[in-house]
Amino acid sequence: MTVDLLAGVRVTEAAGTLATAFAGRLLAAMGAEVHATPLAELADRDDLSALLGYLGHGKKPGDPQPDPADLVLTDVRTAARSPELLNAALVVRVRMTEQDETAGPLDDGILAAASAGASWAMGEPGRYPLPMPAFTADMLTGVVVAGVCAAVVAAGDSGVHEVSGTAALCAFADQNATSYRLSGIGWRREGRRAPGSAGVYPYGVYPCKDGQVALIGRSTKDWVEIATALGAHDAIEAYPDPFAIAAHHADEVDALLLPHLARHTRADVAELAETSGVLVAPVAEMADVLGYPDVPGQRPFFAKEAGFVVPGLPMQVRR
Amino acid sequence: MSRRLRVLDLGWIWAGPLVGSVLAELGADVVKVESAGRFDPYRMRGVERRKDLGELRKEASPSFHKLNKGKRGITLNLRADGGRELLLRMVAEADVLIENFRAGTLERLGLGWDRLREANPHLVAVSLSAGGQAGRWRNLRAYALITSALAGYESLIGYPGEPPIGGSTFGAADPSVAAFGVLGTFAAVADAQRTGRGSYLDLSGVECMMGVLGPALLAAQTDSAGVPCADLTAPCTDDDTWLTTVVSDQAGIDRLAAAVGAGSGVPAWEQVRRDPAARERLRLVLSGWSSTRRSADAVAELRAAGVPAVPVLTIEAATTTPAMTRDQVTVTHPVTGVATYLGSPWGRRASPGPAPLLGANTAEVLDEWLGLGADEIAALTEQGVLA
Repeated sequence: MTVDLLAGVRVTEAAGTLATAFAGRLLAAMGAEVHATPLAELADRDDLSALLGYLGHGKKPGDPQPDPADLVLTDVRTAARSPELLNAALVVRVRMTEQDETAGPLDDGILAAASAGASWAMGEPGRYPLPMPAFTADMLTGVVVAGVCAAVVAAGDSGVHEVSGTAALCAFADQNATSYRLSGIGWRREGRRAPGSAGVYPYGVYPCKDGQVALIGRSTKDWVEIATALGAHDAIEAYPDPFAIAAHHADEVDALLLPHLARHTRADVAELAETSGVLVAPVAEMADVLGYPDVPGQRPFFAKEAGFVVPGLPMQVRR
Repeated sequence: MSRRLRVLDLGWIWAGPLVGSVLAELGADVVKVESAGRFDPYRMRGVERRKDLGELRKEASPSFHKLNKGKRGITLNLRADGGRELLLRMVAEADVLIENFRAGTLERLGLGWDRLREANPHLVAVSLSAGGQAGRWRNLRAYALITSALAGYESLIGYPGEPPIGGSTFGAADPSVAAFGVLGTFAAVADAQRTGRGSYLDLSGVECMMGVLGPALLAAQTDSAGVPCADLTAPCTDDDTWLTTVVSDQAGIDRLAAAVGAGSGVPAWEQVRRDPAARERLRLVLSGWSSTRRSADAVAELRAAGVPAVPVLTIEAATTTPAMTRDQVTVTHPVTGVATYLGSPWGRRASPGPAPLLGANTAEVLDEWLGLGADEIAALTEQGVLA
């Protein structure tokens, strides 16, 4: 899906990070005229042609424009090689990590998530921390970068505005960590569960009959709805207080829930979520997501680009 | 922007309030709209068990304070006719309205887009619901983990060869929704400035989460070549300390092997990219070397050898690095006192005040925005409109 909210905005993109290139893609999808130079460092990677095509979609070649751009979108690595980029009237410059000068585009998100405190809390206790997967740290940073671009355009700003991927991820991690810390739970790895069930109720990923499902509740009402929907009345009777569950009985409640979950398929759980708003959901695999465009009732979102199904711009606009 | 943006923030929990918080830090006049009977549940986040605080408990959550600093707060009973009428009068004076209720809530209250646009044709209204206002997920009621599970994100987090365990600790969905919300809001504001037209943006949490999974979706369609890069996390000497590095070609493997003094037994890049077992062998090679070193020393050695590496920081360590403290801001809250907050990744143009006490600015805001005097406000209070 494309929209025209940024029609008339001209952007010169000189990207050396996936985040920068994704920000440019988003701006183009919102109607900006984006002239981009392809990510030179990855040009010889045949295995990345689909990814580079995705990131470059909707952009024009980075030839000199007849009129100066309203905005130059670049990053620390690229600007270090081409400092003249920073002479433009309005620049948004991305810094993924403090190691930008030595890292490469494929390294950025993983290093940023590790530097931001995000990775340390994902994984099993006693085992190595897990990174944010599949360039999601880069893409999430790209959305923030595109937002900064839109903000400085709306404000009529000038000058160089720097956006830090590590700072963005750290701010997001810190928001959640604060809640854990203040609940006396702490921010740590606890496998498929959020630590201490995140303050109330079992909260995490659980096995079901044919895969994995996610459960999350925030109140007694949520807890009763979920347990009732799963047929786990014994769990309600034994543990009516979700605060006590979180504090003292998470393992026991899991043990009560798991046999009930084992009787439900992911499809059962999807129906509970979609029709009744119960706070359970199947943990979709990428293969499931690729099938979403064919599911009845799926609203327009996915696009087909160069033969691949890709996510579109996640906003529908009405006037 | 020629004048300060006026924003009505009907958001609650995380994603909606974060959009309002970003707007406030960028200089907007953001008014948080709650009601005494149905206030933002995040006022209780992290203080659920602090019943000793009594009525002050809803003013004591640092999680709430982070997401709502820089805003003013009013109470408005949207279930009352007078409350909805008053909101529409405020809409007429606003530039932006943000909400993240369950899909259809504003419509059911008679405050759908058609009504909002009638009140203010220039308004930018932003809805951040779990599954969008239409389509198969419109009835979804969700916190972050539900949307990220449906989007496929949680299935990507796990150890090789084992079932996924997800990343519920980090909670990627709310930041994703908020980041797209900020992008859409400013783009729509720019459009409104240019064209004079308002917009209604309907964002779905599931779609926003999928919106950052483009590379994962592509990989699922083109996985014959294996992974484009391999992340390796290895232990260091001190308890629960780790480093992370990334290799993405044979030259990277060679540099890593040289740095850790490994000879034979190091798998080639072609094996590493295609075979999880080869990646694990490489990780164990690195672990054998790093486990005798402190993380800072190991990272320094690797980087000196041209291998990109960082320590895996705890959140406490991450938030105290110079990069993170550079733009931090100190705010004094009337109940909880002084607190320091990290800089906003979107930047800051205004020094934020504290998060609002519930309804603390009702009279002042209604005076400024609508010119209501003390008598009118007293009457509205009497009628239960400002409850």
